[in-house]
Amino acid sequence: MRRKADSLIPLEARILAAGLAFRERGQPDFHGFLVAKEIQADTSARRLTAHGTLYKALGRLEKAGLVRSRWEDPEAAAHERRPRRRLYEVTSTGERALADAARADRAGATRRGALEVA
Amino acid sequence: MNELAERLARSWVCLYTLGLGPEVRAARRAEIASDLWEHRRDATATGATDFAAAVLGRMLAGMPSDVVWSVESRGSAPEASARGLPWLSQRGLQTAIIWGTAVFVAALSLIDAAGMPFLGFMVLGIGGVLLVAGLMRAVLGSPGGAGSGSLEENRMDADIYRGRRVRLLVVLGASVAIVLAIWAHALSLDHWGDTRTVVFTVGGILFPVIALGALVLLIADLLRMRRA
Repeated sequence: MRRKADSLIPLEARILAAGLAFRERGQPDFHGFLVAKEIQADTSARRLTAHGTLYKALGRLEKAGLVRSRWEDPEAAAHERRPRRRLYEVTSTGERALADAARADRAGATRRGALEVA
Repeated sequence: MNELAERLARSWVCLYTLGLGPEVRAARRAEIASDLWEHRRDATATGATDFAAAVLGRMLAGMPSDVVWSVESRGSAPEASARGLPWLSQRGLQTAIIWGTAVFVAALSLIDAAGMPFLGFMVLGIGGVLLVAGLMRAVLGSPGGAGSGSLEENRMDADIYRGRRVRLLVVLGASVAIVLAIWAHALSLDHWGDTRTVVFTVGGILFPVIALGALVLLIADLLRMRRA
């Protein structure tokens, strides 16, 4: 099924929502595994999001300008003796897209409710 | 088990990023390496015992997306895919095919004449890997979208198609030659032993499949060239 270019699939919406949740907690950026953990906790899923699915979705979001990414300072990673993280941040466009998607979801739910009543 | 799961995940990333531009390839590999590290640290911190299963599950479930991403990344960066595998240049491909053919023939001799089946199978394995690598290079070197850019870009695309056609013809020719050699050898045999059965079954399946793949790609390229 082909989706509309400006619509968000559930995983993309979850990533953006998780990114905004991190920001509210005072952490402006996040890395792939962190967002996978957040989504797992949020949806009470048994498994973490698959590597391919997660990073493909992050790539799509970045291409659409809904998140931006940067590689962290190598010194910070070396100091903690771990690989460098690719850090993502939700952009203002991403924030708006998530709000629009939530509005569209609510409108859809209201329409469906009205149809069921009728 | 944890080590093995991580190694498998890393190997899979290395496989599907083969032939991509160096920056895209390095970024994806580094990102997965970081994910695996964070995952392991989290498992250690929480005392999770299913780390290996979780890593394998994430790898397997994500494979379709990985493949799609890999194909899309090639399509969007024809100049990168045209460069192909850094360790296997275009000349290297032809060398690989020639060496592959040579080791296959050597394997037949070792197994049949010298009576050294183990060594023969080892040589056969190396030859098979080289030939499959040659075919992969031909496929991974696929040009992105001919006729879509400027005159100069279109000329470059046409050159890429020509180069690829030559490579596919070499793969096709080598495979057909090997199949014919196998048949000729089989016909000269007095009896049909177990080792020979395996060799001929492997050769009889592998090389026609390679030849068929090369033929399909060759026809597809010729049709696309005609349309462009």
